[in-house]
Amino acid sequence: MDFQLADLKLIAPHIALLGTALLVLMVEVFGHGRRRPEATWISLLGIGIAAAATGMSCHENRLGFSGMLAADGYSAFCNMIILIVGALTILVSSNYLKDERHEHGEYHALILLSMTGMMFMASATHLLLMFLALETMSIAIYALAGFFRTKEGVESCFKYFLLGAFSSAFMLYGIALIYGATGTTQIHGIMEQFTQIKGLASSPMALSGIALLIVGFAFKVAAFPFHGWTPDVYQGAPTSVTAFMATGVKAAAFAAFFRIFFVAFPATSPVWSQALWLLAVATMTMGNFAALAQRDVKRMLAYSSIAHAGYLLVGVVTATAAAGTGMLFYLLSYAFMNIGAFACVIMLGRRGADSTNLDDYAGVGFKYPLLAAALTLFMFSMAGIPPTAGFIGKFLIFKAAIGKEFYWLAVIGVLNSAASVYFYLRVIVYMYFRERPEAAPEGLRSGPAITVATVVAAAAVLILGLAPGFVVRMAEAAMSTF
Amino acid sequence: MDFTFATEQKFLVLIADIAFVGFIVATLFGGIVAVGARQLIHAVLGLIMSLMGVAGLYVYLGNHFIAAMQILIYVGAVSISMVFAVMLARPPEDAKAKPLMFATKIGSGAVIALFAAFVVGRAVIAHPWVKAATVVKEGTIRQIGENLLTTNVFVFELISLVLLVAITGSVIIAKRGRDNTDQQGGGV
Repeated sequence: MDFQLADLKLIAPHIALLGTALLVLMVEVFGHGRRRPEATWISLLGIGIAAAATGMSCHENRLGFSGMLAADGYSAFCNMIILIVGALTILVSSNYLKDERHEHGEYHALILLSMTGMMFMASATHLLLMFLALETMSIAIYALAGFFRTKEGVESCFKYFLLGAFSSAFMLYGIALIYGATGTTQIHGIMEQFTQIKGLASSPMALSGIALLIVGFAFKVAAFPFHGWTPDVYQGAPTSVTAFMATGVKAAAFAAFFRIFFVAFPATSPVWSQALWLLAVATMTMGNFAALAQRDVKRMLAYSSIAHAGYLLVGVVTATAAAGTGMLFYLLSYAFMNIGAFACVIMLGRRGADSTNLDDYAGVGFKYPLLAAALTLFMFSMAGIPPTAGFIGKFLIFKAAIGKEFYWLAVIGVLNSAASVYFYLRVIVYMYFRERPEAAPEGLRSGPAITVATVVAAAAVLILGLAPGFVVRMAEAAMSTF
Repeated sequence: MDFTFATEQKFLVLIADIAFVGFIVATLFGGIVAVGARQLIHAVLGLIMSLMGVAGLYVYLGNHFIAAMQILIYVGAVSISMVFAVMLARPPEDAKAKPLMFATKIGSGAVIALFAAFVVGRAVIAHPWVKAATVVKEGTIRQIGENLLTTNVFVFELISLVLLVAITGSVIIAKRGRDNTDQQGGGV
């Protein structure tokens, strides 16, 4: 038995979030169904406590609970990304839920629970813990996708659930095969087995296990050819949940993906990096070219999220500390720009009618100049145009790829970014160069919380783009703790 | 094989024998109910009974782990999903209208049973049986249990979190229209 009370310190952030989730549920129960706006504030407070706990536990730099999880700089950085995603999502949701008449505490509780799962994923050093954390995260998000019970919402929830359960089975099978080949599910132990036993790196059992793990992760990050669910699910889910899915799930899945492949499977990296190379190229190309054809902004953002998964996969293919730094920075900036963009989409929508068609954006630029300016900034950042966060993120990832002589991968990535400029700029063109139709609805679905979230996101996109040094150094420090 | 028992254990052996017959009866009777029941839900219950009987037979074969898995997976998960499927799908009204003829049932059942017995029997007779080199250690379940509560205790505890999330999520998905007063956006 290898359990010490001191290990609890490693999971203090997770416990804080879990406790807050239970508190929010209790407040909802004893509130007798009245609208309880305090769920928002309780959740934000809990996230703040979790952030403080993360700051305190990030210097521990050790494994806990018999090697189950690590509290190191890497997990602390990922935790911070997840906490930022969660806080922004809750801020963005506040007015949206009120307007859609779904202001229930369960929504916040589910967000917090799935964040707990995400944070466990980011710190897991054991395949079993990683799998359970993935399920915790996913189950909460299945429920969130169907939270509004609209026809599209339920369809999205069900599609995500069925395919998600399927991919979980693939991943579990992969874990079982790896256990069969190496006799352990602890990632450092797996790495030792690969170095000690000659020929294990080419054993079919280990390789098929790794392949199935890749399938499971590729599904969660929406990589080609496992991306089929993404457009429908992203479009049907409540917009705030879509933002949460696109950023939070991606951050957690990539955090676990990178840690497992970087720590456990360096011995087989020539094999899997080839497979992931193809996956990365196909994912970004498919995502960008499908996004070109979309006229629905929410669906366009869904395809663009597939493309971004492709860029992030470049980081996993490269699998160096520099690539990890780039990936962490990209995940953080993607969180800000994507949630910001979805916040603008929410503000332009109406109750029961999201108005996400491109035509609904015609003339917005002069009617609501501030909102249009923010959305323009987010679109520039997603396209990777300097001086925004998106540019720095892409630059770091592609630089790392070139550093490890993946020249073609970097070239294809840059060409893809260039192609993506077209559909991001099209939104801007509609906002500034089209007449606003007479029948367009008046007013914005706005409020203090969502405004704060948008302003914070826009400021972060600009700051990370203009002065990225501080955060890049933090990400480098995080990568050095492996 | 011949077994000899101490006299004081004779009584226990008798109980074990009776239970063994009980499991066989449960297996066969459950199977008959599963095939013959008119109500779909009775058929599922019969199947559960039969699977429980099979689990008992595994215990007599000395493999407690397989027995536990049989109960966990077949009696637990598979049957529960069948019950859900039965409850969610409305049975067609005329399902009861045209039951098969009794003789047809017996006849087709006998043919299938004979065929299965022939196939399995041939395989059993043709297989060159050798005695297992080592007896399965009785500790397999014990080892799993010990592992769950020591090295893997954290994962074991985390399962409760997964269950909590699953319960919360399913309640939210299942409850209808709470205080969503006008059903404009909802109504599913």
